Amino acid sequence: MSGQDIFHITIRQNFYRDSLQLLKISDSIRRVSREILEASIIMATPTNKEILIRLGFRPSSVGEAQESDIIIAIRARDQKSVDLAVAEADRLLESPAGASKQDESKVDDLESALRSMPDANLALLSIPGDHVREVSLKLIDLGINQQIFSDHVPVEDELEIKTLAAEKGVLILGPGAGTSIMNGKGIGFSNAVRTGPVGIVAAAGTGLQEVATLLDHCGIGVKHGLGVGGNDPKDKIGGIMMMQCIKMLESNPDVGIIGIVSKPPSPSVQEKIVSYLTRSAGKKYVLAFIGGAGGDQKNGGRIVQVNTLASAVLAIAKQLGRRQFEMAIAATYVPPKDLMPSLEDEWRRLGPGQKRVRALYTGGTFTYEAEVILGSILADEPIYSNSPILNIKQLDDSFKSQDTSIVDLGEEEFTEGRPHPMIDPTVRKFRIAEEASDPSVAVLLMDFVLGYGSHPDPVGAVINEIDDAKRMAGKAGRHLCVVAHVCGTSDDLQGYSQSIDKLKGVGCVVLPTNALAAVASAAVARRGKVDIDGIYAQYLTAGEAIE
Amino acid sequence: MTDSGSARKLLDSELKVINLGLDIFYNALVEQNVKAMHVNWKPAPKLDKETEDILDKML
Repeated sequence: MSGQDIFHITIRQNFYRDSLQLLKISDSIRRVSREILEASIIMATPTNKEILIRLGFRPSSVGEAQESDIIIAIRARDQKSVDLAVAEADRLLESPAGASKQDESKVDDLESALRSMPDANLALLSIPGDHVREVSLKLIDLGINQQIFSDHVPVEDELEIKTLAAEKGVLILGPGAGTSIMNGKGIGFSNAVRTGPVGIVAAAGTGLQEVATLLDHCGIGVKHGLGVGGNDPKDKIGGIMMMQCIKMLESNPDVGIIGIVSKPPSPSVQEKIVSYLTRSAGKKYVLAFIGGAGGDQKNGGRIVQVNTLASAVLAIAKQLGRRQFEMAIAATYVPPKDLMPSLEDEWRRLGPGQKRVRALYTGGTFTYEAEVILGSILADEPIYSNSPILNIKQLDDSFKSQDTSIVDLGEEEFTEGRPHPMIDPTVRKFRIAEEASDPSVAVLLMDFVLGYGSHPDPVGAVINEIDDAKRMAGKAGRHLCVVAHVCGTSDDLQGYSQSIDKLKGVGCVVLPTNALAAVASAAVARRGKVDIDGIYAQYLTAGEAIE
Repeated sequence: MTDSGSARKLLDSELKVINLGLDIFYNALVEQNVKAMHVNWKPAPKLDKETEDILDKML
């Protein structure tokens, strides 16, 4: 960042555009002139103000804006470019939002949409969380099922919404439900997966995407995948919609096997689920409670419990038959005897002070899965996260890593008033440079989620930053190992194999599952001195019989 | 959950979706040939404190 750059702030009072419209406007302004180095047109939420300050804008200028205002923040090499950028921002903000072309399917209010589509059977909500209750209750009255992607919905609102919906027989997926698949169609963040006999209930959005895409790699299709939101299996909500979804899939004739993907539910919700599955259900089930008990089987092997997403895929494939299991091993599994030699060159190049792993995730479930695996392998060192589970410690500041840190960039402190990091790479870009400049860092671990709703090129959006980070470490006499996992299918628009090739092109280690990427990161940081067979037995199995 | 609600029929019916908020999700539905409407949703404009106080007194 040059000392000569001009940092300009304009505040538009009481002005609203959604975060995606603002992201598009920001991108357009950056392309106006090469002299414009940064353009952030954003709602003045606390998160966005924090990010602007970290990008070098003066706290006193940023602090004047209220939450209902838009901030136009420009960094440019000269005043002429600043003026050009602000004028362009004004012009784009004044253009009618979303109405660039005449489209009868796009309207300005819910009532118009309901008039045009009176038989709507699903509403997908991605509106600010404090408005969800009002809209959702209106839709429940009309009997319209909902997938609520919005975060920042008070849990009391969620309970009220779900209780009323349950009384009226309306399905509520979310809040915080980014992903669903219905009849093979992706709703929200989702991938182009084949249709088949598997049904999934998930309180873990990227968990659903990981399991569905990995099954696709094995030639196994998903008919329905219902995301209920992370709060549902907790005591406060009591698994209202998780139980409803399980029952819907149990009675659905197209579904032969059901995967349940979640952080471990509260004991009472887990009891409810297990009781229903053992007493009332008849289909095959794989319970993937990330970080819970693994290797359990009930009802003569009809119900299998595992503890990672990768194991869920192996277990589902195994339940379907020997051929499917062999395909799953071929497509999603790297045996220890192949993994460790492939990493040796990485750990041999590390400097003596390089010991830490830094994970920058866009997917919440990937964060949990990495916490489970790294927390086990690196149990004798402090590990931090902004979303800690099990033995992981809470980060003092989500914007600053310490020791080994596993950061979920999709957590609410990063997303208030801005697009999810699967869409907007801004925060991860500057975090890559920050982590790489720390001489204690050995490994940078990242996920790249392809598919509907995601950035058009999530790998391409940060590939220069990864390349720069590796070069910067090299100039300082260090080697930065970058381990990556791409969640997607060959039919996703972003290009699955092209994304992997780009990462490999700048020297990244790319692994077929997030679980393997986490194992590899720990193995590199520990210079191969890990109990690799024990790790595989715990986290990379298809479940073992206990009855 | 009642047996007569719309949830029971959802997975057996053709999807008809109203998308409120981010148009990227609407575009994804259209790409998959799902029938969808997009609502360019905006919150009601926030009143300034003075107007809010006057309205409070009137109502």
